Amino acid sequence: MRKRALIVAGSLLLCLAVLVLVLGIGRWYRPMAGGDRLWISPGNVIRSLVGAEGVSDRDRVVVTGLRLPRALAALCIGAALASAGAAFQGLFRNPLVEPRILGVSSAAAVGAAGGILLGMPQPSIQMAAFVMGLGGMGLSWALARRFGASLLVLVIAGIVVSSGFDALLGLTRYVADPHSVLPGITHWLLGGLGTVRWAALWPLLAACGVGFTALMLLRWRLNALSLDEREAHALGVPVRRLRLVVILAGTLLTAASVATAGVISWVGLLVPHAARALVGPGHARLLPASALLGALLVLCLDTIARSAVPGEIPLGILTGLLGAPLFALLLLRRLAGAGGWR
Amino acid sequence: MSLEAHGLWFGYTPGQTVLRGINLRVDPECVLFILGPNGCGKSTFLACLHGALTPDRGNVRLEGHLLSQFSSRERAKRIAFVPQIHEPVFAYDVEEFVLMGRTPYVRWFSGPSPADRAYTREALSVVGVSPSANRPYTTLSGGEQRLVLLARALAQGGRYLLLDEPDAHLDPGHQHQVLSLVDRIAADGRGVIISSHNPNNACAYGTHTLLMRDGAALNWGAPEKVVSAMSLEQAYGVPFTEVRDEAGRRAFLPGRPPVAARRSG
Repeated sequence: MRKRALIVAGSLLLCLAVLVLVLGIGRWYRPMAGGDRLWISPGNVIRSLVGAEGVSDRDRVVVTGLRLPRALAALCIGAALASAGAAFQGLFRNPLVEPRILGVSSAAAVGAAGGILLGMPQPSIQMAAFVMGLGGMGLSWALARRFGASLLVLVIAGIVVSSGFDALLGLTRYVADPHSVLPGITHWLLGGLGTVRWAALWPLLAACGVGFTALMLLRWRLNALSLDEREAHALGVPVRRLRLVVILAGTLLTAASVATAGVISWVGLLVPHAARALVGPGHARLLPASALLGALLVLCLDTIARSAVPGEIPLGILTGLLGAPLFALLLLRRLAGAGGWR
Repeated sequence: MSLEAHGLWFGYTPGQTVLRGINLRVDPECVLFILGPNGCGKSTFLACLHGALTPDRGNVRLEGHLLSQFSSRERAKRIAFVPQIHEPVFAYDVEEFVLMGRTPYVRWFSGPSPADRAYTREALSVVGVSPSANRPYTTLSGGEQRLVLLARALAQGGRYLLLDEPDAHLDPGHQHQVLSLVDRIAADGRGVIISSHNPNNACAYGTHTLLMRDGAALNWGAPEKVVSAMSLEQAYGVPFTEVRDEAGRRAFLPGRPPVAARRSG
């Protein structure tokens, strides 16, 4: 018990320390002059956060108004995608599964692209993406249910729904005006947190809070669910119903993330592997460990995305560039070590 | 106080029948072997007996009540199922794996209690596997995996155990180890149902035998009555020869005389 409390406290402290450090890094945009580097010392970051004296107004606005909501969104999205990935990998009994397997991301992308095409304001675009994401998963589930809702059927239904929405996305891009609208869609699809302000943060935090809490409450049932279906049944788990609840929670996490930050690949696939290597496959530890690693990873990547070059590197490009090699490395090391997936 | 099946019919798709009106009853302290050729419906039958499949006709009764009236958790506290040997995808530690047997006792939204962990360690000591931490289940030998699966069923604490081919893929020494452990478990007041491909094990370790073919019972009762050269030939479609030692133990040799003897002769 004391050990667990220490680990939880240590993880929170680590997050806080990284957060303070990262809030100091970045650029400051002045009209006509572009982005200058703007380093704010950790002391001044903390002073701005707690509202103490001795910080320039500019630094205070940059830290609390611009960088903090964005950093919190990065933490939240990283934790959401990684924990949803861990839960989906357990549920599908397949370590190569990503949270977007049931068509959530493809559907959300269609929602966002449609919103941009229709010239909706930013919050409505997010809402459209979120609702379409949930709808995509619902469609996969409804389709799978007609054919018995086994895991294989679910995966196939997810593929069908994803490809359908991918085609629709192609259609919206095809009809979008290549000069005014298409760049917006492309930019959104590449993923990024550049538009996140406080107002966009609250719905994200709420959706992710609900989804993650649901997964954590089911952490022990998830272990049984990751076994053979008849075995799980014999252990007293109502397999179909539990699957639906876990899928709903994971979809909530994924849809909220995609709606806020666009399609960010690899985090949901890669981070659970790293977490399993650290704490083993038991979901009671795997879920929080994945969430922590995912949160820190996306926070650091987003810091690079917004400060490495004047302007911005889309987050999805960074995760893709770093994710694939990291994943291959982890995978090969584990396979070389044998003993199955951990 | 028994687990009973009454006239079970089952098919995976409409029109197909895997089970055709099968009956069975197992009481505490019984070890019932289900024998029958591949594909005769043994595994399907076991799945119906613990409610993983719902029979098309007939019913399963647990301690006098319809099995379908029990909630998932209440059923799991009474009937444990040990699957055929398989490789789980994720490498859970031995202790973590056995702890999953306590799932029906863990309240929704909660984790296992110290008592659950105590049951887990006790179950491991009964099967004689050391709970030494950080040993992934996936790295164990086939014999040890069987014992750990049994420990998980014991930790589940039910009165009835269903074992799907616990003697398959094991050398004779490990078969003996597992089946004499099953005998001890049954003597503690549990009813055990075992599907098996080994009639000799049914004679040596069973109190009852059910001989199946094509989803129906050919014969059932005490192994001395049910298992004979004739009934086995009927079930498996090859001739059997019965041999008997001075102590009265029986064994059945399938097929014709040894290949080597025929070649040299």
